[in-house]
Amino acid sequence: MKARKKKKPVIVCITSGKGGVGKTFLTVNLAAALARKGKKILVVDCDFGLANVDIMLGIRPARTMKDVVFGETTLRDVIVKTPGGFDLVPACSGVRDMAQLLYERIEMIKEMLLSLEGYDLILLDTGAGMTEVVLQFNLLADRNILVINRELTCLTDAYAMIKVLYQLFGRDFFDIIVNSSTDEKEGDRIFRHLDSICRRFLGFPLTHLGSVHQDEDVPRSIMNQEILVQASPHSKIAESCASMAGTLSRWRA
Amino acid sequence: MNRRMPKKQKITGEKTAVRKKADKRQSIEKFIKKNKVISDWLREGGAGRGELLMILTEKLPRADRKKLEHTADAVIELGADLVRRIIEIERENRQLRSLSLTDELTGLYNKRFFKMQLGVEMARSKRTGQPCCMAILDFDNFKEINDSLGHSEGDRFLKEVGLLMRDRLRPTDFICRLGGDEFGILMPATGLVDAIGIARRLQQFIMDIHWKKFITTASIGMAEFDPSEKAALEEFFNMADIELYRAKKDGKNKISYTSGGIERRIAAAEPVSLHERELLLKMKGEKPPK
Repeated sequence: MKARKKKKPVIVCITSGKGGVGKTFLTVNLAAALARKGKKILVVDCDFGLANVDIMLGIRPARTMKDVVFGETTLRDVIVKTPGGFDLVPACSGVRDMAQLLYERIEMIKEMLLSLEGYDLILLDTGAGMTEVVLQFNLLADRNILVINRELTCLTDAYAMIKVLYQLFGRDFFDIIVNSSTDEKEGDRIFRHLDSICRRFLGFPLTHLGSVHQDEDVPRSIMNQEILVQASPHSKIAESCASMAGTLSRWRA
Repeated sequence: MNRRMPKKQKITGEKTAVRKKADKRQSIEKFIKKNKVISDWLREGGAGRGELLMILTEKLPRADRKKLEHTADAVIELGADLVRRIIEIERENRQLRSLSLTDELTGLYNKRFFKMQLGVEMARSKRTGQPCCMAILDFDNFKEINDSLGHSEGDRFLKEVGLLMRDRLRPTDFICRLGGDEFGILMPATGLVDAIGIARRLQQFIMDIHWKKFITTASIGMAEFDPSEKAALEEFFNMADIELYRAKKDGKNKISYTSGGIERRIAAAEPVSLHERELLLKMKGEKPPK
């Protein structure tokens, strides 16, 4: 048995700019895939306007991020175990002031996140848009994953996000996941397209973390509130997730 | 050589101003020494004499008296009861000063003081690097109280609630009535996070007031002064004012705020250019889908 040293978790922020690209689906499945590899994973649902990690997992948390933001509860007390084998800090849906209030507490939440021990990776699933809260979480993270798909609006939004993060905080390292591509080739092409524009205008390359293909398994698994990586571990999507998880597990803070 | 010229001129200009001032003081001093009555009185006056220069004019020639009227706070006849007169003038002075800095109705500070203090706190922020916050609070349904209970009741409401609000702030905070049912709150050495907490508490407190069956709410607009930014006083004040407007527009009983932080930096960031956009959108053209 290896002596376990207190290790700082790697904080990974998953964003997209545009909504409905599949951030939450990917976050959940990556987390489950990592958990299957024996990693200790915490997912933080940072989409405070419209939380949905808990819905995707079919769990009903008693306490949510709301209790941290509004009350005296600490982040540690809100963490729940999920059927995916990873831990979750659920957010709450529809609390109007939440997104605004969060801004006030973001420093506190940052500190709480950084003081959590025993996790290999912390995945932050942010909401859509380029709000202050989303940017704050991106800034806090060690690594930034951007989820894109072939939609032009999605590409422009992702690029805008990259540009803002680069201009404001000097971030010049982004991992790209191309979601719902028709095949390997298309995934590559979409990535290369965004990559070429980044190189040309911002002067740095992007990293292609992987592509997830379009598959009817995805909507079905979401409908059934199951985690695809677990329900059908040998499906193509599960395999892509597993391979990306392999990369993620090698990341160091 | 040419470059030096204006510099030199400037120095001599300053020197003349200083000298003029000194000359003036000297002539007054000389004049005071010459007049025994005045110098006697001033000696007795002690330390305070610089503050309140009063001249007793009996035995003074008219020309001298005229001269003094420009420099002294008061020129009074020797025949008047000196002590009583000093007290009176002091009281008048104090009243004048307080009239111009406090709000007549509530007894709180007024807008003039608020702006003055705002300038002080902004300067302090710049020096210490600590942010400061201001809030403008406006009652949502004050008009209802005024209309249904009468103006005197409305005034009473403003006075009492104003003083109660003051009691709910920290000793270092300033609350001022800016006019109408608008109050300004200045929170020195306070970040936005804490300031919003204070505003929320205030809002809750106001909601709990039942003024003759009327339940009142307040909208609050807040701004944080970031010492690294160079916002001018009016600009900072307007930031809070704009937020108040936004809070009102959002519906009542709301707090809206802005900080010199990320939000403005986002606005300052260079947006995606047309050229970039065009190229981003070009991908589809390469190979049509399917």
